Amino acid sequence: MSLSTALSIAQSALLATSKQTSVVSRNVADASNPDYARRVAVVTSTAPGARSVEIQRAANDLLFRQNLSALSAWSGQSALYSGMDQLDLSVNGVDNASSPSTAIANLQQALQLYATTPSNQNLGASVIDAARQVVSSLNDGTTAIQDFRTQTDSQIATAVDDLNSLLSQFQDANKAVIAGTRSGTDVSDALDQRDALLKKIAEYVPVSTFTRGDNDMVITTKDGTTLFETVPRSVTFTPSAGYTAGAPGNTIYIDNVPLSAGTGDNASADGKLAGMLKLRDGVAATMQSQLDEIARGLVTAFAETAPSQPDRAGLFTWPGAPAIPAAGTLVNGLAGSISVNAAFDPSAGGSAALLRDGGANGAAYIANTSGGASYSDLLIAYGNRLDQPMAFDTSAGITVSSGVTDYAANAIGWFEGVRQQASTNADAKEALATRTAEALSNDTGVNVDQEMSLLLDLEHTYQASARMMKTVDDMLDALLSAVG
Amino acid sequence: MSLYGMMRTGVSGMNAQANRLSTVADNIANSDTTGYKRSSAEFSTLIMPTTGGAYNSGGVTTTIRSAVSSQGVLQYTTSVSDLAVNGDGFFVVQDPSGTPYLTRAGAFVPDAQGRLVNAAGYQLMAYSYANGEPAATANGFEGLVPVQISDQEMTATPSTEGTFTGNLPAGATAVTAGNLPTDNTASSQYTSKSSLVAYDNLGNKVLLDVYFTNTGTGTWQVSVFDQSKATAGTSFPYTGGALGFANLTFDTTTGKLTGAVDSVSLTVPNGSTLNLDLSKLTQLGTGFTVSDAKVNGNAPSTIEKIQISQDGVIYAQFQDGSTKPLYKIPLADVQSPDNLTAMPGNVYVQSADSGAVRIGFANEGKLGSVVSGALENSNVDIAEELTNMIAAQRSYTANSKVFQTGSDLMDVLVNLKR
Amino acid sequence: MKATAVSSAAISNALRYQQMRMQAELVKATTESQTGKVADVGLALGGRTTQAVTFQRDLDRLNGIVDSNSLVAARLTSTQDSLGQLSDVAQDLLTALTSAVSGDSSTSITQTAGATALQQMTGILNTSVNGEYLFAGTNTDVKPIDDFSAAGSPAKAAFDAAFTSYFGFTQSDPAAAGITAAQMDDFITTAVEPQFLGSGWQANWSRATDDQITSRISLSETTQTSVSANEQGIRKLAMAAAMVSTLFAGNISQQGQNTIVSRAQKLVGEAIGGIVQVQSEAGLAQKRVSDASDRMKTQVDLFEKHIIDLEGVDPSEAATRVADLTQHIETSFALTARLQQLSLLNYLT
Repeated sequence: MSLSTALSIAQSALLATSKQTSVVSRNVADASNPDYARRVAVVTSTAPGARSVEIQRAANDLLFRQNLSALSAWSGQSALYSGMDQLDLSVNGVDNASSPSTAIANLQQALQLYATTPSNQNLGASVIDAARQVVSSLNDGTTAIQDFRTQTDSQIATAVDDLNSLLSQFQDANKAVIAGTRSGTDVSDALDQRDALLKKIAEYVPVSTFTRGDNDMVITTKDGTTLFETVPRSVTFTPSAGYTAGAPGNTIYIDNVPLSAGTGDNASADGKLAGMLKLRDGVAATMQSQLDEIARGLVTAFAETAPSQPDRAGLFTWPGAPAIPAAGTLVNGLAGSISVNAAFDPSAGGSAALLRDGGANGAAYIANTSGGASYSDLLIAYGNRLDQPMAFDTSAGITVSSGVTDYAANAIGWFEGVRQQASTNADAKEALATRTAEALSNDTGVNVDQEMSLLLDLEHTYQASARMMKTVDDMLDALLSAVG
Repeated sequence: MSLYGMMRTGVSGMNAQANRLSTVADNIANSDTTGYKRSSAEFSTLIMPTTGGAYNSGGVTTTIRSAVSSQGVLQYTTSVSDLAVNGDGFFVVQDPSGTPYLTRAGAFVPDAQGRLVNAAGYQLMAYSYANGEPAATANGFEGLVPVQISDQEMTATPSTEGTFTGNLPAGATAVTAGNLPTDNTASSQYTSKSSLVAYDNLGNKVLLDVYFTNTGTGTWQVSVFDQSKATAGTSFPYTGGALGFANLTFDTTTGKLTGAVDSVSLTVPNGSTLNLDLSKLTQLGTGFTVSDAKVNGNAPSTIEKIQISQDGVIYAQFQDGSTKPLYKIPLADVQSPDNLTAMPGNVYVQSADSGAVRIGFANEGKLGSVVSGALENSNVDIAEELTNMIAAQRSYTANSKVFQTGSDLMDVLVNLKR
Repeated sequence: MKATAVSSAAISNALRYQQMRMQAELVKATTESQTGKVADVGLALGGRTTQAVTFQRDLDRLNGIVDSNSLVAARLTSTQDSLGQLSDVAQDLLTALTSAVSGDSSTSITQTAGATALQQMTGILNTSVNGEYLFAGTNTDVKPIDDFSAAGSPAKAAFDAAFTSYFGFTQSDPAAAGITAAQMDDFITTAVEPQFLGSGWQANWSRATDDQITSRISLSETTQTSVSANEQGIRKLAMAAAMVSTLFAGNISQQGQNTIVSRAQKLVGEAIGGIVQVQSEAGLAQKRVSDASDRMKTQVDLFEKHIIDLEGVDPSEAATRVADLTQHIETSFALTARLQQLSLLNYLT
């Protein structure tokens, strides 16, 4: 060992310390960046007197994967739940005020009042008004649901575009990681960026990943479809211009494989895309079917009947009138096309008294043969028929046999059941996502206090090295003065 | 026993110390020269024959030694082409006229022609990878060429082999014959699909669709298609049909692949034959998962920068991140490095005493490793030189006193006759 | 010992997440303490929302039926009242007839009594409540009985025609004095009775329908809630009054008059019985209506309780929660402030 070596060692110590300091300050700068993983500057001593600094990135693959899958679940679930909230408000209104159930209940009350005083045509007109409310509730509900589906469709299109752009950004980040890994440079920043992108991708679809040589990452969806391998796979989707009841939505293709909305109930979804698919083709479509069934039930309940005559559409009519829809079979879009029969509607030149007397479909259907103004039997019969159990299509999701009024209430119950489930799931998954993010952050994030104490250490090392140089300098000074 | 003899002895002592001071001067002058090795003056006695009681003083001769084998401290820099040897080896360099030399001075920079030239103007020599992995010529400089990096072109490598590892779902519903992907009709169905990037002869990326189709209990058909030929939407039918397919059989108890077929062979469009190894596929009761998938080959791309590994291989790194070895830097040594003849510019040539030059690669024997981004400092220690200088000064003074004493005695002798 | 690392971001994020959740809870609890209902019924009840909706709907329906029942009850009360008046009319007529039999009163008095009874009866039967004729059956928009004494009354014309065709002369014809008791009796049985007790009633007298108004008086119960002018008692009263008022005016023989009085007496007696019968039926209906209303009011109470059970929130509990949450949030704020101060930086000078 010589004084020159001592100087050189002190010099490399300064270099190493300053590198470490830069790592620490970088850590502190990014302390609140959730996508930043803490760096550790590891000092290794190599050749005589030389120390080299290697930068290691704190990573926890297991926690990261957990966080990814929790993110997918949460993102899908919150898309599903917020969509349901929106559906609830637009179809059923605040406190179910605009729901068909409420409208039908009002109709039933108006009918009751009219039945009590059948001679009072004002009351008859109010029944027609209530019927119009029912129709508008069903029509508006249908419009709202189909608008919602169209809107969800365009959201899916936007999400697919986002996903495609994320995947292409991922390609760049992945390239940087591969290049850096191959050349042995510090790839921490590229890894941070790639992980951050992966988190964003996971919000759209649940992913699983594996890395090949040189840190080259391959992303597949949870069911094995390739999303990214060297180059991003195309995610394609053609939004529909508009939706009608019963019309199926277009499929999202990832690498030409159709993306499934996932198995399981209507109330859980994995990934934003699956959540939106479930909303569009699951919950909203089922709600529409239920509205259609309510509409069919109403047409049937208010049908005019007569012995040895076919049943004919009465107060509520539909495009297939005068026949009534087949029993127990869903008619897609009926809720959108149901209307109040003009023959009954005073504002359209009809007469509400037809409801009391019957005969909108011809003399054979007149029930009030005596023509009494207080004939209430038919009105009471209509009221009864609303409560009489009838067959509903089980494909609409409600299997309980009931009358139209109860069916409408059951429809609300069905939807609220799904919504509650979705909300519970969303809460649970949000908690999981937060928890895993916290665990990941604890494991790979920066603790400023820790960095500060490290900085103190580094400061001491620096001071000691500087001191060393000074000492060697003094010694050489002494020597030089001896020469002189 | 003569005064003259004694005075000559003093003179030889003074000469020796002057030599020593010269080495000190040299050392101090080169204390910051990269790859400089400290010289030192070693003395040895010259003895006159002594007869009877007469003692004849002899003298001292100087031998200059270079501490060539002493490792200098490595100082890290930021240039990858700054090289240092951490061990006993030397770089082989040549002067512009083509004469080879050995050196430890590795501050290389590319010159106008892309050759790596150090501060003294010597070009770095290495074996080229043009004809595959080079082997060192142990006893001579044959086969060494100057490292020249400028006009290296990357040729694209077509894909020839790949592996696909994963699990196929054991509970999958079998697809009936006639609807298999290989039937290539619009109604073709499959169980799972993956896709891989392969490269054709020109290095273009070709996306291969890989379909896994269950055809019965434990039997699967693997078929590969060119994605660019797919029909929009469901992909089927593909123009031109399958590139290749194979029928796999799995053991239904272990879920492992049985049977002779464990790979699928296909010809990449405009490319070579690609053999996709499927031997690690399993068929277990879980979903379709891909745990590893890779295909070799790469796209053409230009050199972005060079990297030099510890074993002395100069890699070109291309824009797509891939690397290719260009040269392998050999390290040379001799039996007795300290006896090498130093030449201007920190280079050495073999001398009669040093033994013949032997050439090998880094990390072989005592040759040591090549450190990129570092330079070897001069192994001169100023303090030692200064102390040497003081010692030499004192010795010189002492020798001059001997001479003066001799001279005084001669004076006394001459005055005897008066 | 295992030291678990905690990152700075995790410390502040954990608190932030908790604060967010608590604030959301606070909004909910505040709403609940104000309304006494859960903030989001659907979310709180899920599939059981059906029950809440059904209860609410049935509650509204029950209230509606209770309201409509009061209408029905009003109608029935008026009917009852009118029937009582009818009964009085019949009683008065009976008294007049009785004094006619004993010879205490003159023919004209008896005739007037009959005419008065007929007019009163017509008036009572034409009573309308809320624009509905009470005794019109279902034909409530038409006056059930026309005034017998008015000019051009079809009933009077028919009656007179029947008389003329039977005897060949009018009541005022002197030949009428020769009508024997037997002739008169036969006339009443064969010519007058069909006009009142047979098809002639609805042809000439009444435009009321036989079927009566049916009303739903509870969720599952319907009942007839009106009395038709076609009731036998009313017809008989009308017949008696009409005979007396018409035939006492002319030159009908004493024998004939006596036969008329005795038949009328019998008819009125039967009419009173009939009216009482109708009255009791109406009374039964009244009772059913009021019973149903009482029952439904109990049900309403029950449903309200159920709804509160389902959707209600104990206001004091909600208020406590608001207080709790406020305190938690305050603590959390204080903690955040403290934690933000807690940094090694403060000790490095």
